[in-house]
Amino acid sequence: MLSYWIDGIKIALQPSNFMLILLGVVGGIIVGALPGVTSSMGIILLLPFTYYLGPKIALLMLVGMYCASMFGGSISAILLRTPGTPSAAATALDGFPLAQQGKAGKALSAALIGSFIGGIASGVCMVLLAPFLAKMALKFGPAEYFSLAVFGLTIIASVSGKSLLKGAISGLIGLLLAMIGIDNIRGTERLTLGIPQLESGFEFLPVLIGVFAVSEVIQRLEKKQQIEQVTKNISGIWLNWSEFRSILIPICFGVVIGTIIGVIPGTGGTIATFLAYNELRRWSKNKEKFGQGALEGVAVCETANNAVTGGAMVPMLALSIPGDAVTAVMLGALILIGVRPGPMMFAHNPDMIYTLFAGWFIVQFLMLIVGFASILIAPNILKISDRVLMPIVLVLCIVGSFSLRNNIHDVAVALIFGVIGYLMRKGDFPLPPLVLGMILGPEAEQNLNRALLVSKNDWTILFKRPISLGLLVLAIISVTISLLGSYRASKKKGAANA
Amino acid sequence: MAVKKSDLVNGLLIVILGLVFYISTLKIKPAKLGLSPADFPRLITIAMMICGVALVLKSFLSKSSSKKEIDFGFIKKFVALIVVFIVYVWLLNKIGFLYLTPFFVFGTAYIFGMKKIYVNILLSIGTTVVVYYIFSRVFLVPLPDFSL
Repeated sequence: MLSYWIDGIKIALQPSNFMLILLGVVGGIIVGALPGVTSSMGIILLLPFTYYLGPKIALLMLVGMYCASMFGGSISAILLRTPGTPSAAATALDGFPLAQQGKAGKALSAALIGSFIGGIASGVCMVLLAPFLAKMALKFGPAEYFSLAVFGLTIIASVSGKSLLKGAISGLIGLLLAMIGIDNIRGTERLTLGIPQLESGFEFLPVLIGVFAVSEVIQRLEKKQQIEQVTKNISGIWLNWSEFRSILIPICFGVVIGTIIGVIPGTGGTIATFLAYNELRRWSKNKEKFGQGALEGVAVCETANNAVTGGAMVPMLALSIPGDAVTAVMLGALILIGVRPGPMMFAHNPDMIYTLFAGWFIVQFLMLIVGFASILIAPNILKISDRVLMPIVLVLCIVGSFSLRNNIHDVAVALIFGVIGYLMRKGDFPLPPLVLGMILGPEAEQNLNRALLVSKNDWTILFKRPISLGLLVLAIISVTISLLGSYRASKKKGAANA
Repeated sequence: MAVKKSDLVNGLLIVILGLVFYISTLKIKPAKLGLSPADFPRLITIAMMICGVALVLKSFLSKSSSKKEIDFGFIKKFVALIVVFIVYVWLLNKIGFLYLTPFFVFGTAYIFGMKKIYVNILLSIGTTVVVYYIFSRVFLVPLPDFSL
């Protein structure tokens, strides 16, 4: 195992690879900092580049983008009170008041230190937990894999945002899209409606590019006003000893809550940050400080959202079940670059896994260094206007969708799904469930078919095997909790409106 | 009764979509053992129709949001962006990436409000050259070439 670790470190530190990881980290901070440009969009825009690299270095570049974008989100949350990523929403509560008091540099430093420690701690959790979970999953047969996919699909409920029903519809559209074309079981053409262009189905990447990136560009045509940032220059970034000491306990809070929330599928950074923030405030002796510009508030949020990253990678790596919306996109990205996460990857490609593990820690140190530099130039990052950025994003979308198969048809698909994605956003249909549907649908279908073939059409195989039954029970619990939560929220809303 | 129109329309669209795709599976033969290629799509389309009906019903129960004014400025820009995109896709194989993309970037930047012509020209040429170099020369992706 040690040799895999050493090989992983060697790969990550090779000058050309190191530069590529650095590029991923820099890109992640920029993507995170720009309000409205999400981590998912950054990963999707980076994909066409990584497509032509080896899978190991592609994986590390994507990890760099993922982790750094979490910190990047704090830059606009602190300077503009507009979180760059949803996970940084809670950071703005104390970050913006700090910036108004002229302490933007200190707030950003606390965010960076928290992000770094959160990333390292969650990396340790990933290294310890993922192989253990994968080992357990090696006992899985088709029935268990089917039940696991069903459990994965129930995550749709928790990444659906405001409306569970609309989340379910979005997930079903994803499932339907994955079924169009030639089926994997018997090679029969299905759901093509007689349209020849649909025979080869929809490639995942152009759909992703369309739904997440092109639709975002269209939506940004609507945005009119630019928000004024509170500071043009950032000074005083170093924390003194008492300030540093004040953020140590919040960082511990963030690490514990972020990691635990991250490991639970279907939760994610936004839940973790608000939970960690509330818990810290509840336990704090100076509750009144929170919301007025408490450095502790910034540190706990940013630690928690970066602690989620490693935790969310655990179910994704070990079971192929994404932990949150961003890891759902990451999972799609990994499949596209030829990395198929799951227990088999631990058995057959340990070199890949340990390169990821070793690279993960290198990424965190890079994020720390690049992060400090980015704090100094943060106001300039935020100055990039849509007039410049959006045409560049569109060109990347075009090249990205074209380069997959060198086919103009895929560019047209990206455009069509851009419009569909925009209409979905307008209708409040969440987008991550669509991705989950597209990834998990074929998995569920193929494994159910295998399970039925093995059992000679005996459906009770799904309930006779204890792990499969357990996963199905978990799926039912997951849906029930979401339904109850949604019912309570609507009741609360009704009471508030009355 | 106030009806949330967007949910009503969306719900009906989902029901129609589900129905159309469900009908398209009727020709597929059932399987003796295991799943038939039609089984899973049927399950999904039925679920879609149920969810669509639920959304329609919900639209009758929810309060209609205040009437929003139509933003004609956005609609104009939206149509312009889509037209530019379609023309670009249509001409890409004929004119080629290197010669066509500057015009595409120029057009989209203009739609986004870039009024300074010199900056726009610089952005258009710069973006094209950098992207072309990275993909065509570094990654060796055969981007469409001039072929009229």
